[in-house]
Amino acid sequence: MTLAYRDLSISFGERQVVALDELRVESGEILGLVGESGSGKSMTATAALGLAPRLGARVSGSIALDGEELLTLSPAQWAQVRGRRIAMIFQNPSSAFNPVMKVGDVFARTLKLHGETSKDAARERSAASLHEVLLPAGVLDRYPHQLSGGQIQRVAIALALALDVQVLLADEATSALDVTVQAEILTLLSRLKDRGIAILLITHDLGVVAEVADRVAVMQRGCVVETGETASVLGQPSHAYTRSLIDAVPRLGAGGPR
Amino acid sequence: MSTLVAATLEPSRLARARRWARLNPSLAFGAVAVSLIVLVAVFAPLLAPNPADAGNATHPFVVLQGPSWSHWFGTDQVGRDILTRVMYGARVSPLIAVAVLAVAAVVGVPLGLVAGFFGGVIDDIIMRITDVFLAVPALLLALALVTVLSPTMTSTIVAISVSWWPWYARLVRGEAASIRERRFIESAHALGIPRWRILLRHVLPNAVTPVLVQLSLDFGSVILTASALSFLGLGVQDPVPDWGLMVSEGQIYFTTNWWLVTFPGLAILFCAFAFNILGDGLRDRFDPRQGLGR
Amino acid sequence: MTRYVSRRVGLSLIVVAGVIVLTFLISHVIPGDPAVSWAGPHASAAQIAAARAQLGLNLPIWSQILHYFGGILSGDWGVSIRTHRSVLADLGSAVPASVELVGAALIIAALIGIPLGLVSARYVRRWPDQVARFGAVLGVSMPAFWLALIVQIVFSHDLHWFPTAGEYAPSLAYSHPIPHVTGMPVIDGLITLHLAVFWSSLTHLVLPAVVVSSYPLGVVTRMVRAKVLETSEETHTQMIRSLGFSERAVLSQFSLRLAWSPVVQVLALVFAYSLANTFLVEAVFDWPGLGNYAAQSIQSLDIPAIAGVTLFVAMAYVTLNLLVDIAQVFFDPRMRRSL
Repeated sequence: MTLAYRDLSISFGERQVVALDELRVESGEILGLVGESGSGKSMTATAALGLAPRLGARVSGSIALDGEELLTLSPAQWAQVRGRRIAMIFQNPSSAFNPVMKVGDVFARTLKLHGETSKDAARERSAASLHEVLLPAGVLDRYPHQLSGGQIQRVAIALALALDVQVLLADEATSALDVTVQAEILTLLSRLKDRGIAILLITHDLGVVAEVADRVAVMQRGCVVETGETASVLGQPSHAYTRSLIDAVPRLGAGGPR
Repeated sequence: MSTLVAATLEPSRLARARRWARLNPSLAFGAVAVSLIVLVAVFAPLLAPNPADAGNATHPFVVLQGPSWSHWFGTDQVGRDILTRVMYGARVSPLIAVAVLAVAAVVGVPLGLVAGFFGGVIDDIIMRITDVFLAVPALLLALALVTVLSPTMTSTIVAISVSWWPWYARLVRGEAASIRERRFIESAHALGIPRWRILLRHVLPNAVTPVLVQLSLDFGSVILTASALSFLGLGVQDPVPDWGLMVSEGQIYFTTNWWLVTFPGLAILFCAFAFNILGDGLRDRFDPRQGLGR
Repeated sequence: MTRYVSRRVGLSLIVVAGVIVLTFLISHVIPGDPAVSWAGPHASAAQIAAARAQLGLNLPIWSQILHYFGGILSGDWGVSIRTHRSVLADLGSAVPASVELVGAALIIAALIGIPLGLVSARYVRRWPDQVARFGAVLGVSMPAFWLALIVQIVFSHDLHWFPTAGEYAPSLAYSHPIPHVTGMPVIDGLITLHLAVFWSSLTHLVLPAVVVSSYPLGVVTRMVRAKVLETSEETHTQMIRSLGFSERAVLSQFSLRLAWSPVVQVLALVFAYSLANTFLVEAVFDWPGLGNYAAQSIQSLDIPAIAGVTLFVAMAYVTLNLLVDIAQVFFDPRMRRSL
C-alpha cells in the first residue's frame, strides 16, 4: 500500500509553491518531510486530501493511493477517501477540535458518517482506539479545553485508528508540544507503523525526523532536493541545502557560529 | 461604448479598476453610492429643478400632482417639487449624522480609552455609567431630550449623540483593555514612558481602526434614527426638507397620493443603504474581527 | 459559577439603580407642570395646588428621588397623568402586546435569517451570498415607519390580503369574550381554543410583525454569515473536512454550533431594543403596545408614564443581557472552567 506523488505542481495564481518530481510513502514506514516554513510541505499533505483547491490552489500531477488516482476523484468519491483511507493530524492541538462539542460527539458523528450505524458499537470502537493511545474512555465525555495538548494529539491519533485509515498525515503534529510530550507522541506514531499505516511526518525539526523517521525527504522551495534513509541523509547529506539544515541545528558543546 | 472609454483610459487602469471592484463589491458600490449622495448634496442648487421649493415656496395651482415630466417625483401638498426637496434633503440627514457621530466619538473615545487603559475602579465607574445610558432606549432618550429642548436640528443632534456615545466608549474600552495587555506596552512602561504618553502614542492609534469602521457602520443607523425623530415631528421643522419630515407630512395623503411618502422614504433607504454597504466594505477590508451587527 | 452569577446580578442591579435615578432626573427636566396636566385644563388654582400636594411635588428633590425609589421597589410606579390608571396597570396591558409583536418578529427573523446566513456562508462570494447580503443590508437600512406605511397600503388597503390595524377585529369583542391568559391574543386564543380570536389576532399580527422583523432579519443573517465564515477557516473545521464530511454537513453539524451563542446574544439585544423602538410601527398599525404608550405619554408629557416605560425597557434590557450572559455558560463549555 503506497501513497505515491508524481510530478505534483501546486500554484496559487502565478506563484508556484510545490514542484515535486516524486515522493512515496509505504505502509509500515514513517517518511519525514522536512523543510523550512514556506517550503510547501503542508500543501503537499493538504493536496493528498483533495483540500488544496478549496484554498484557491491549482493542482496538477498525480497523487495515487495504492495505484488509484486521487486528484481526479469526484466529491462523492473523496468522501470515501477522507477519514476512511487517509486522515490528518494538525499542528495546533488547542484548536484542532470544535470547542463547543464533546470529543466523543466528534467520534460518534465521524464513525456514523463512515458507516457505523450502531451507537454502542461506535462507542466501543472509540473507547478501544483511545485505549491504544493510552487514554481512558472517559475522555470521550470531555471538551477539548479540558484536555492537554498531548492528550488532544493522542485523541486525534485515536480517531484515525478508530477509522482504520491506511495513511496518516501528521502536519507539524508535535511542533506545538513541549519536548517530553513530543517524545511520547513520536513513540506512539512509531507504534502505528506496526499496524501497517503509512505515515507522512511533516516537520521543520530535524531532531524529530532523526528520532522516528525511516526515510526522509528534504524540501526546499517546493522541490524535493534529497530523499533517502534517514541515517544516510542526515549522516552524509549529498545536497547543500540538507547540509545547511543540519548545520543550523544547535549542538551542545559545539560552540556555535562566531 | 465601453470600448470607447477603454480606448481613452489606459486599458490596464480600467482593467485594474474593474478587477478591484469585483473583488471588493461592497466597497466599490458603497463608495459610488455615497459619492453620488455627496454630489447631490453639494450641487443641489445646480441640479434641482426648482431650488426655491426647498424652502417656503408654495404653488397653489400644482398641489398634489403625481410624477410627471415636469415634476419627476410629483409635488407635495403646497405644490413644491418633491425631487428638489429630496435632493436638498441630502444636505440635511448626512449632516446630522456627521455631527452626531463626531460628538459621540469625541465624548466616547476618550472615556473608553481611560476606562480600558487604567482599569480598576475608574473602569468600573465609567462602564456603569455607560451601561446606564445603554440600557435606556435611544429613541426614548432622544425623544425626552428633544421634548425638553425645542425641536431643531441642533436638539436632534444633541439628543441622538447622548444615546450614541456609550457604544464608542464600550468599543474603545475593549480595544484599550486588550492592547494594554500586549508586550510592547509593558516594555514602554518599563522604560519609564509616562502613562499618558503611552495612551496617546501607542494605545490610541491601535484603537482607532475599529472606531473608524464602527463610524461608517453607524452612519446609516443615525440617519434612520434622525428621520424617525423628524417623522414624529420632534426633529427639524418645516420648511426644512428633511426626508423623515416629508414622510410624516405626506402620511395623511398617502392613500391617494403615494408619491409624497414613497420618494422621501426611498431616499432614506438609499442613503442608509449606501453608508451601510460602504461601512461593510471598509470593515471587510480593515477589520478581520467582525463585531456584533447592530 | 454562583460567584459569576451573583457578580453579574449585582452589577445589573447597580445599572438599574442608575437608570432609575436617570429616569427621575429626565422626567424632572421635562417642562410642563404635571400638576396642571393632572388636574385638567379647567382646574382652579386650588385644585392645582391640591394636585401638586397629592403628587408630592412640594417635597425637596432628594426626598422625591427616595420616595420614587421606594415606590418602584414596592410596586408603586405612579399613576399615569393621561390615563389616570396606575402605570403598572398600563404597562401590564401594553407590554404583552409589544412582546407578542416583537416576539413574532424575532421568530420570523430567526427562522429566515439563520438558514439565509448559512446559505450565504456556504456560497460565499457567489450569487446566493451577494443576494442574501444585499437583502440583509436592505433590512438593516430600512426605515421602519416608511416600510410600515407602504406595507399597510399595499397589502391591506389595496390588496385586502390582511387587516389594516389593531390587534384583532374590533367586532370580535362583541361576539366572543376575549380570553385573557397571557395578554397576547394569538397565544390566548390558541390555548383556550377560541379559534376565531386566534385567527383574527394572527392575521392582524402578520403585517406589523413582518415590518418589525426587517431589522433583526438583517442583523441575524449577517451575524450567522460572519460567524460561520470565521469558523470555517479554523483548524477544527479543516479537521472535520478532512474527515470526509460534505461542506453542507460541516456547516450544519459543526459550524452552526458556534453561531448559536452570538445569535442568541444579538437577538436578546434586538428584543430589548425593539420593545421601545417599535412605536413608529405601532403608531401606523394602531398596535396597543409599549411603543404606542410611550409615544402618547411623551406627547402628553405624562411624566410618570414616561418614567415607567423607560424604566421597564431599561430593566428588560438589563435582565435580558444578564440572562444571555448566564446562558453563555451553557453555550460555551470553556466558560464553565473559569468559574
